[in-house]
Amino acid sequence: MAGTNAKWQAARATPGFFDDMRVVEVGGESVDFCGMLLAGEGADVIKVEPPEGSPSRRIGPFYEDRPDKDRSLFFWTYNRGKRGVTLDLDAARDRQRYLDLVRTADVIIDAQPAGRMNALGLGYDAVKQVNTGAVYCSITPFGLYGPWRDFKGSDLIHQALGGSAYCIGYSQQSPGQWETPPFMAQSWHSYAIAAEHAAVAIAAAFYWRHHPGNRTDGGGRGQFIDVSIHDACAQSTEGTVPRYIYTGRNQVRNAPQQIRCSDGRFIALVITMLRIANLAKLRELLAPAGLDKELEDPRFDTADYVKTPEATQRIAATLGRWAATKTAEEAFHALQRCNVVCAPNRPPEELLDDAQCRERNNFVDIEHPELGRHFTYARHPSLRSEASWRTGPRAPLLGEHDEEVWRQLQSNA
Amino acid sequence: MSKTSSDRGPALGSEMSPLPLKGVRITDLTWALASAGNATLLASLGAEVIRIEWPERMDFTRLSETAGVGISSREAQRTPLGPGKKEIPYQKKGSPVPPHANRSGVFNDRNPGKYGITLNMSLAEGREVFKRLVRTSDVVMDGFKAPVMGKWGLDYDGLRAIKEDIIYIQMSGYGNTGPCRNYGSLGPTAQAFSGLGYLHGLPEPHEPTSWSHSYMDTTPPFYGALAVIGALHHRNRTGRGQYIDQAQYEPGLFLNGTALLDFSANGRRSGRHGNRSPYLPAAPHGIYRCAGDDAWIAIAVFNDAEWRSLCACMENPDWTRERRFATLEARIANQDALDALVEQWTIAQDHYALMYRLQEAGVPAGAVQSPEDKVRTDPHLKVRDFFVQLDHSELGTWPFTRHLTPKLSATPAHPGGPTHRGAPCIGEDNRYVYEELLGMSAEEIRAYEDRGVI
Repeated sequence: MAGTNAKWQAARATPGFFDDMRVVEVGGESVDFCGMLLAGEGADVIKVEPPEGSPSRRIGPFYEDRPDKDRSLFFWTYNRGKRGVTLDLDAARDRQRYLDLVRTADVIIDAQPAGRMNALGLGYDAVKQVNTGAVYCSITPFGLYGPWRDFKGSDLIHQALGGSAYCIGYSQQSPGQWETPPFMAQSWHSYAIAAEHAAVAIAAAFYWRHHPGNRTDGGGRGQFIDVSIHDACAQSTEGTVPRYIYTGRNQVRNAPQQIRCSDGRFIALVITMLRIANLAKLRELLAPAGLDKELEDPRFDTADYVKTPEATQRIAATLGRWAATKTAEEAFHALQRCNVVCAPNRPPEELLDDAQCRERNNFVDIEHPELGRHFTYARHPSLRSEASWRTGPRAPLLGEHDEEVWRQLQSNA
Repeated sequence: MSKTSSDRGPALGSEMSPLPLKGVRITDLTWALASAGNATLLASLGAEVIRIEWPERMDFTRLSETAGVGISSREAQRTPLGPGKKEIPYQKKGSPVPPHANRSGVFNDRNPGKYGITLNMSLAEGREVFKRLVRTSDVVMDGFKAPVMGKWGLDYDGLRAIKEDIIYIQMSGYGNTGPCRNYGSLGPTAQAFSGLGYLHGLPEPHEPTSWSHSYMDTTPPFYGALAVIGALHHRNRTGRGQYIDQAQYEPGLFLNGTALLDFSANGRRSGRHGNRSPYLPAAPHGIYRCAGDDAWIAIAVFNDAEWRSLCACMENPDWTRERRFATLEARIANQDALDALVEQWTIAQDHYALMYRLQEAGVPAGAVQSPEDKVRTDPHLKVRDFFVQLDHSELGTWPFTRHLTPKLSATPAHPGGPTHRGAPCIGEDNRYVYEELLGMSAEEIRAYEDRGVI
C-alpha cells in the first residue's frame, strides 16, 4: 500500500476532476458550501457578491473575535478555493457585467431568494439567451414550487422540518415524555446537505453535457436544476423514513450508546453488531479487571440473546465499568481489536493530533498572506490517485478579484 | 416579490427523459448504507449498477428489524403484494438464508434501481467471474474493510491489470492507510470519530447527543458520487482511470463548521450550544414544546422586524415590552428567560397551526417533523413528488424516497434507475448479467451454480 500512497503524493499537483468547469455563484450562506465542493474538485469558482459583501461574511465566529467582512471564519471555511468579485445587481452596468460573466460559465449557482434573479432580468431565461449550455442551479429554502415555497428557512428551521431534529436529543424519561427538546445539529448541516445534493446534480448535468456519447437524446445541452433545502434535509435521516413506511414505527429519539472514559471523553458503541465469537475476545480483555465474569452468563452464547436490548445494555454497562479506568484512545483501540465497532466522540480540534488523520494527511495549513499567518483546514473528503482535491487558496477578500476577472473577460471578448 | 410562472423554473422532465449517466456500468461490492448509497445515487442518475451478493455473507440490512414486518403494515393498506419471485438461487440450494431476506424495507429503500447477482467472492473461481465483470465495467466500488480487496489481489493495481482505465472507489471505514485501516465502522461511530457528534446537545456536564440515526451513512455517498462522476469526466478527457480511497469519517471533517478554524485561528475549543445560534445573532432561537405528545416548534428570530411580528402573534403581552427584551442584543443576553416565556405561549398550541401563523406573519418557524409527518402529512414533499412508487419483485409496490432530491429539467434523477424497480432480490438478475452481459451459456451457468460459485 505504501507504493500507492507514494503515488498520491506525486499526484498532488495534478489538476482536479473539473478543472475545465467555470462556476459563477451568487447568493447568501446557502450557496457557499456547494461552490466549495466544486472548487475542491478543481472548478474555477467565481463568487459574485454585492458591494457590501455576502451576508455570510457577517456570520461568526470572527478572527480574534473582531467582526469584519474579511475576518469571518464561516466565510473562510466555506469559500476557500474561489475567486471573488463584487457587483451591484441593482445597477444596469453591473447587470450587463454579470451577463458577460455568466456567458463564460459552465455552471451558475443561484441562491438568491426565489424570483429575485428573474425580476432583475438575470434568471435562467436571460442566461440561456447568452449561454445555451449553462447548467443553472437554483438553491432556495423550499424550492421553486410547492405550498411552503414562501416560507422563511434557517439552519434551525430546516433541521426541524426536515426531521433530523426529531432524531437528536436525550432519551425519554418515560415513554413519550422528554425533559429536554429535540436538538439541531450545530454547524450548518442544512446548507451542507443541500449543497451535497446540488453538487452531485450539477456534476451529473455537466457530465451529460460533455459526454453525450452515442446517445441521441439531447446530451450536450445545459439544463435547469431546482434544489430545495427542505427536500434535501428530509432525505438526510437515513433509515428512519423507510422504517416508518415499512413498519409504521417512528424513530425514537435517544442519546447514542456511549461510555465515559477516564479522560471524560465518550466512546460511541454499536453493540448490536457484536458476534458471539467476539465475546470470547472481549472476556479476555475484561479479565484483568475481573469484569469478564459479568459476561459469562451462558445466554450470551446464543446469537438471539446477544442482539436483544437487554444483552446490549448489559454489555455496555460492563464496558462502561471497564472504560472508566482507560482513556478514550486506549479504550478505542482495545475494543476495536476485539471487533467491537466503536469510536471516540471528540471535539473536532482533537482530530488534529489523531494518528489516523495524520497518516491520511487530513489537514492542511492555508496561508492568509495579509495576516502573515496560516490556519488549519480539512484537506480532502477522499484520496485520489490522479487528481487531488484542491485545498486553497484562502477565501477571497471582498472584491479581491474584481480587476483580474474583468481584465480576463475583456481579453477573451 | 411577484410570482410569475417562470419563477418555477422550466418545465420538469418526465420519466421518459434521459438519465445523465446512461451507459456507465458499475460493479458494486458495497455493503449496508454508507457505501451502498453511493451506487444507489449513481443508479438514480442512470448508471447500470450490478450489485454482487452472496447468501452466506449477506448484507445485514437485508435481515434488519424491518424484514418481513412491513408485509403486515402493507396488508393493512389493502393493496396486493407483487407476484413474488420463485426462482431465486438461495431458495433452490436450501441455503440457510431466511425467506424474509428479500423483504427488508430498509434494504429495498436503500438499493433501488440496481441489478442483483449472486457471486461467491471467497472462491478463486468466483473472483475469475468477477474479473470478467470488471472488464465490462467503468467503475468498481466496494464497502469492505480496507484490506479485503488487496487480499484477493483486487486492489487498484490488481483491478488496473484487468482493465487499464478502471475507476475504483474504495469506501471503507477509516481508509486504506493508517493505524485504523482494519477497524470496523458504522454511521454512529463515524459521526463520533469525525468530531460531529460532539457538537450537539447541551453544554458540559451534559453528554453530547449526536444523531440517533446514522447521518454519516447518508452523507458520504454524495462525496463518493461526486468523485465518481468527476473521475468519469476525467477518464473521458484523459483516458486515465482513477483510484479513490474514501474513509467514511473523512467527509465529516468538512461538516464540523468553523470548529477547526476557531481552534486554529482563535485557540478556542469546541463547545455545545443546544438550539442557540452562537454565530449568527438570533433570539429567540430554539425548539419549544407545543400541545400534544412529543410536539415541538422551532422558532428563529434574527431581527427586530421578525421580533415585532412574533410579539404581534403573541398579542403583545406586557413582558415583550420589558427593557431586557428591547433589542436583539438584550434578547440574546436574556435568552433563558425569553425561551421560558416563549414556551409558556407555545405549549398550549398545535405546532402546525402555529407554524402557519408565524410564517404568515414573516417569522421563521417550523414544526419538528417526525418520519411519520414527512410520509403522511408534509404537503410540500407531496407536491414535490418526494416519494416515488416503485415495484419490488416480492414486496409489490411501495413508496421510495428520492435519494437525489434536486429537480433536473432535462435529465431528472429517478430512484428506479435503469431497472425501473426497487431493490433486487438476491440473485434476481443472474440470468441477465451472466447470459446477456457476460455471454455465458446455460451449461456454463449451471456448472457454476453446482460448484457454488454463482
